[in-house]
This record gives sequence, structure tokens and C-alpha cells, in this order.
Amino acid sequence: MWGFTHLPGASPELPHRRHRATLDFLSSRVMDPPKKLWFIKSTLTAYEAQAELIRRLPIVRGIVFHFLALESFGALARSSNESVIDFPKLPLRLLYYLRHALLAGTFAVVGFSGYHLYGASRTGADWLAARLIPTPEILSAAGLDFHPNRSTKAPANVWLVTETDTEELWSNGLRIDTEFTTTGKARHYLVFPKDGSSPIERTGPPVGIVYHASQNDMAPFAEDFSRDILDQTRDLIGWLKRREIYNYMIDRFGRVYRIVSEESVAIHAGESIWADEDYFYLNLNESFIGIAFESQWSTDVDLITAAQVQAATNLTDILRLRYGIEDINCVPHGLVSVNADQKLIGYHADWARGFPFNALGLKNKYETAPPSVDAFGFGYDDDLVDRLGGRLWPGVELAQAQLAERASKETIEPAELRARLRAHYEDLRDQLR
Amino acid sequence: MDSDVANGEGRIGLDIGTSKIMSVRQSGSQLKATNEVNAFLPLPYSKITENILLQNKVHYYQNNGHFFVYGNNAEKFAGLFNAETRRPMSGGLINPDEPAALTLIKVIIQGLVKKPRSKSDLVCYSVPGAPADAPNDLIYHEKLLEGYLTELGFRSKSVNEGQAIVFSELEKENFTGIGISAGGGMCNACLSYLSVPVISFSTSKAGDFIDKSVGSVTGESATRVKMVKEQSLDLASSPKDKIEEALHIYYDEVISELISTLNTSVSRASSEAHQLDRAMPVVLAGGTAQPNGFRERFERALEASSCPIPISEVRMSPNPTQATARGAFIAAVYDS
Repeated sequence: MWGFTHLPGASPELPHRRHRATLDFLSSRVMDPPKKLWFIKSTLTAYEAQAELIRRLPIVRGIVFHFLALESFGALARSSNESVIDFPKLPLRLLYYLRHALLAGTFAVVGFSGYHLYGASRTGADWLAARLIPTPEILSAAGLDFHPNRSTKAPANVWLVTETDTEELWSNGLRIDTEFTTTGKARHYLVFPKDGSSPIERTGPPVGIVYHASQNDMAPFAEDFSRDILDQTRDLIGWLKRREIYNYMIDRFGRVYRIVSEESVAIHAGESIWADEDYFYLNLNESFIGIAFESQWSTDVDLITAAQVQAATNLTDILRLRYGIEDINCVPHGLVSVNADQKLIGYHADWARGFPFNALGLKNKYETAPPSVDAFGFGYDDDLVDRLGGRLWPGVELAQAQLAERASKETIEPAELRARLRAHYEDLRDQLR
Repeated sequence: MDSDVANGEGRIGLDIGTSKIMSVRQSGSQLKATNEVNAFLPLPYSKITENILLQNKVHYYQNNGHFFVYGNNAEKFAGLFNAETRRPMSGGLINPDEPAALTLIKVIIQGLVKKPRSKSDLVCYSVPGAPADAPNDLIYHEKLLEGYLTELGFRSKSVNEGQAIVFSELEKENFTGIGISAGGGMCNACLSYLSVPVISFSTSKAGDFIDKSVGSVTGESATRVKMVKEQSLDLASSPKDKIEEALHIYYDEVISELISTLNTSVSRASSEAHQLDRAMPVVLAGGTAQPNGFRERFERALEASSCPIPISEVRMSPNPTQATARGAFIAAVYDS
């Protein structure tokens, strides 16, 4: 299922999934639209008004939320006639009048059940600790440089050692978890020769790899949070599988999961542009494999572990060898993602900075002129510059310089050249439709 | 909730659209909707004109050597005087290029909301999503309307037009789903989860864009195009003439823009943070969504677009032109 981030500034905040289900159930019993709206809003607003610590503690937040929902529901029941609430009145009234006793009783039960209380308090303490103590063991991707002198050619000899129904073992030590693998639509795409000849239709193997950041919630990478980290990974895998997103996902312990089979198209790159020496590639879902690091990329913090980098290196080696993928076609998402309608680069910016090219045995694509700018005249806006901390990658500058030089040779204004290139892009884009 | 308020007394929902302004209020056990065309007709001052207006009991506003006939009468008299009406609003917001806009929109609103009965009377008015290219314009628009309503003695609050559709049409789904209002100046949409707005956006290609574009390619006046659109257009059947053919094309363009923006907005908000546990319904409303076949076209285009969220159904509001005002009314009643 699809999930969403909360609209910035939207209020009130949505509670936990299970509590939303309770709210949904109770709301369905209110038959009058304005009163239903009042019930939902007042419950959510009252919940949001609670201290953050309460909203974070797993058991406490559940008790508080249900208490608040009961308060609102009871208030509604008292001020409305019989037809408004489709719920037996007597038990509701009893629940409402006894709500404080129920609240106290519930807390007492929780207090005596040591396991739950311990779990709750530990999680709460962990949460506090995470905010008071700098989180350890988080590596900066920008600083990773495991194999500085490694060749950028694909390795010559990696093979599948053994496989079971749920796992593959490769000779470079990589284990791929295949338990969750799903298949989707077969690959079928167009590549556009750079010499301007007709596009070529392909149904074969992928020609490249796009690296992503999953951008899901991240618990601190510390021992006390192991359970939370595992839970987050499990939720993420389920979600990716249902939506057929990414071909591979690498969790924070370096475990590699095949989500969508390599022969199938995974959703990962959307509107995107890349090119190698011979061809332009548009909208890379069909032609490129998507690999996601379970990480939350931003310019401030690079959440990526050494284990993830090692796993990505091994996986990249396997895929490059298996499909003959050229180094030039191994590229991070932020460098290929575009807003095609507005002709802007960096629509998604994950790994537009800080990608560990060296560690993965790849050439630094930040130095490469992005074809979106160079060949199709795309630009960028201040928003992207802000998102990247005030500075774009050097390839953009290079592409712009190349574009200006070309315009100068043709004795036209760069804007005119850009308009022509953009029109060319639209022509190619039309052929994809 | 206060019992009077719970019955909707002293609460008004106001849909302030580019082409029409509609109010909804409680009248006995029913909701009563009243609307005025959001347009005016400037006529040069003359004694004959004044007599015609007085004989017809037409309300007008006089300024700077002109009579300004506004609301529903503006359209009526435009035909009579062979003139084109003008609009105080453009693209969902108050038109800064129209000097008479501020005064006329005020008198139209005043005619619809009347006078408050008490200080606690509340008007909830619709506003579009912020335009991507000029988000601050919405602040100006919203504050002006708030100022007018305060001047008239009402308390006021704004509601996003897309969310108003959610309030009026997705009650059974506990206000979870996507509400889309396809109006004259803009299309507005809101994805709401348990009444909390998750995504909202607007697109500028809407009814006026269709009228203008079709007029431009067929050589017909926008008024004539609008008449065909409102009276005989059937998007489920093959076009009968060149106007209808162009209408089909530009309707597809509006739908395509709407869906593309929806998918983009959804992709941007996509996250693990709050997973949906069910498919979402889409409700269509607004005057531009009225022609037969619009829903089917939208549904087909949405299916073909690989929308990132699961959609349970696409349905049309049973009363597409009143849906925003009804939603605003619900928002006004709950807020007590």
C-alpha cells in the first residue's frame, strides 16, 4: 500500500496506524457529517495536544488515544439525539461515565504487567537518549573510500555458488534474500541513438543501475534500537513488494533483498534521463535496475553503514558482470531524476551528493555532465540548490559550459539552443507514449 | 457541540469560485443553496440605461460614470446590451487587473450572506490551492475575503476547495479520499485522510481554459463555446461538430494535467510514515466536471496513468455545482 508524509503545517497530526483504525471504526458510527467531522477533529486535536513523550511511548499512547476518543465520542453522544450515533447508548454511557476509572484501571494493569511496562519505559528512555546523546555508528557516505584504487571495470569472475527457495549465495560472499521476490511487467523499452537515427526497441536485459535512498523512517543505528531497525526494514520490504518498487533493497545491516525480479520492471526512477556513449535513455524504470539503500538521504546527515556499502559493491559487481553493464550507466537517482514538464533537473535529489562511487568501484558521476542539461537543455531552480545545501554537483556546471560553447559556435543565444534541445526532448518523450 | 450550532443555525458555507459564488445555509430541515454569477457588466452612465435598470428592478453599483450590473443580472443584460461581462476573479483568485473587482465581489458576497443574526455567526468560505508560481497571492485573496466578512459582522474561516469536496462527498468514508473540484478558473484537489489534508494542489487548466482555447481554434466566441459546453456537450459520444471536437480535445488536456499533477504530488508525499490500509475513492465535482462522460474519461485516464496510490472508485458528486459550498457549510457547522 501507498504511504505518505504528513503535509507540512497540516494539523492535526495523524496518530499511529492502529489508533487510526479505532478512530475510523468509531467515526463510522456517527451518522451526521458535521458531527462526524467534529468527533474526528476533536480527537486528533486533543491527541496532538499531549506531550510528545506520551505520543511516543507505545502502550501509553494507545491508552491515552483511546481515552481521548472515548471522551469525544461521549461528549457527542450527550449532545446529540438517538439517530446521530449508531451505537448502543447504555454501554456507551457507562463507558463514558466510567472513563476516568477505566483510564486509571488500565494504567494500573499496565503498571503491574512488568514486561509491558519495562518495554514501554525502555523505548521511552531510548527515545530520550536518542535525543540527548549523539547517535553512534552512523557513517558518512561521503567519507567512505574503501577501495580507492579499485578498477572501474566489472570483475571477471563472480558466480552463483548455490541457491535455495529463499536465498542465493554468490562467490564474492553476497547472500541475496529472495523470499520476498515478486515479478512484474517484463522489460520493454526504447533507446535513442545519439546519432539521431530511429529509436531501438529492446526487450532484453537492463543496461544500467540507478541507486536510491529509501527515505523511510530511521531509528538510530545503535544496539538498543535493533528491534526498531528490524521492524522498520520488515515494514519497508512489505510496502516495496506490494508496490513493486526497486529491484533490490539493501538494509542497514547489509542484507540484500531482491524485491522485483531483475527481468521485471520495478518502479524507481519515474521521469528520468541518462546517456552513455551511444544512446540516450529516458524514464529508466524499464531499462535500469533500481537498487535502494535503506537510508534517509539528506545533505545534513548521510545515513549509510559500512555493511551497506560492502553489499552494494558486491551486488554491483554481480549485476555488471551478468548484464555487461558499463560503468557509465551506474548512477545515483538524484543525477537522473527530472521534472519533465518544467524541464528541471533534480526532481528527486537522493544521492545527488555524497554517493560512495569509489567504494563501489565506479567512476565519479558527479564530474560527468548530466545529459538532461547537456543534451536536452534542462535547467534547475533555487529549490534544488537549497536542497543540496547551496551547491550543485560539478557536472552541472560543466554541462552548462558545454552548452554555452555550443551556442557560441552556432552563433545563437544559449536560451535559443536550450529551447531547441527541449523540443528535441519532447519529441523523444512523445515516442515513449 | 452547541445544539443550535449543531443544527447549522448561524452557519454559512460559501463557495467563492471564479465564475460563480454559491452560499449554502440551513433552512428548516433542508439546506438552501443560492448562487450568483461572479461577473459584472459595466455600462456607461445614461438616463435611458438607468431607467431600464430601474424598470427591471436590477441592483447595480454606480461609480466613476458607470453603472455596474453584477451577479446573475450581468449575464442577462450582457445579451440585451450586446456586451461581454467581466469577472472580478481570475484563476481562482481576485483579479488584480480589474479595478472594480474588490468592490463588486464584496457586493455579490453581501447579497448572498445577508446580515449576521448574532456575533457568533460564522461563514466558512472556500479558497483554491496556492498557485505554484505565486503562492503569496493566495494570502492576499484569503485576507481580503476575511476582511469583508468581518466588516459584514461575521466570524470567518477558510477551507481548501478540494477539502470542501471531501467534507461534502466522502462522509461515508470518514473523510478519507481525494476530492477534486473542476471549476471555471482552476481545478483544486485534496487528498485527505480522516479529514486531515495530506496533499492539496491546484491546476490552472480548467473551464475558462477550455472556453478560451476552443474559441481560439474554432473562431467562436468564448461565450458561445461555454453555451455549447453547458447545454449539449456529451463527452461519452463522438463529437458532432468542430466545437465539440475541440471541446473533447481540451477536456482531455484538463484531465491529463489534473492527473499528472495528482500523481506528481502523490509521489512527492510518498513515504513509509503513514501507510494507507485501504484504497481511496476519488470524487469529482464542479461545473467543469458536469458534462456526461467526464467521469468515465477521468477514470480511464487515471487507470492508464499508473497512479501511485490504490484507487477504489471514481465517482461523480450527485450535485457537482453545490458540493464545495456544502462542504464549506459542514466545515462551518463542525467548528463550534
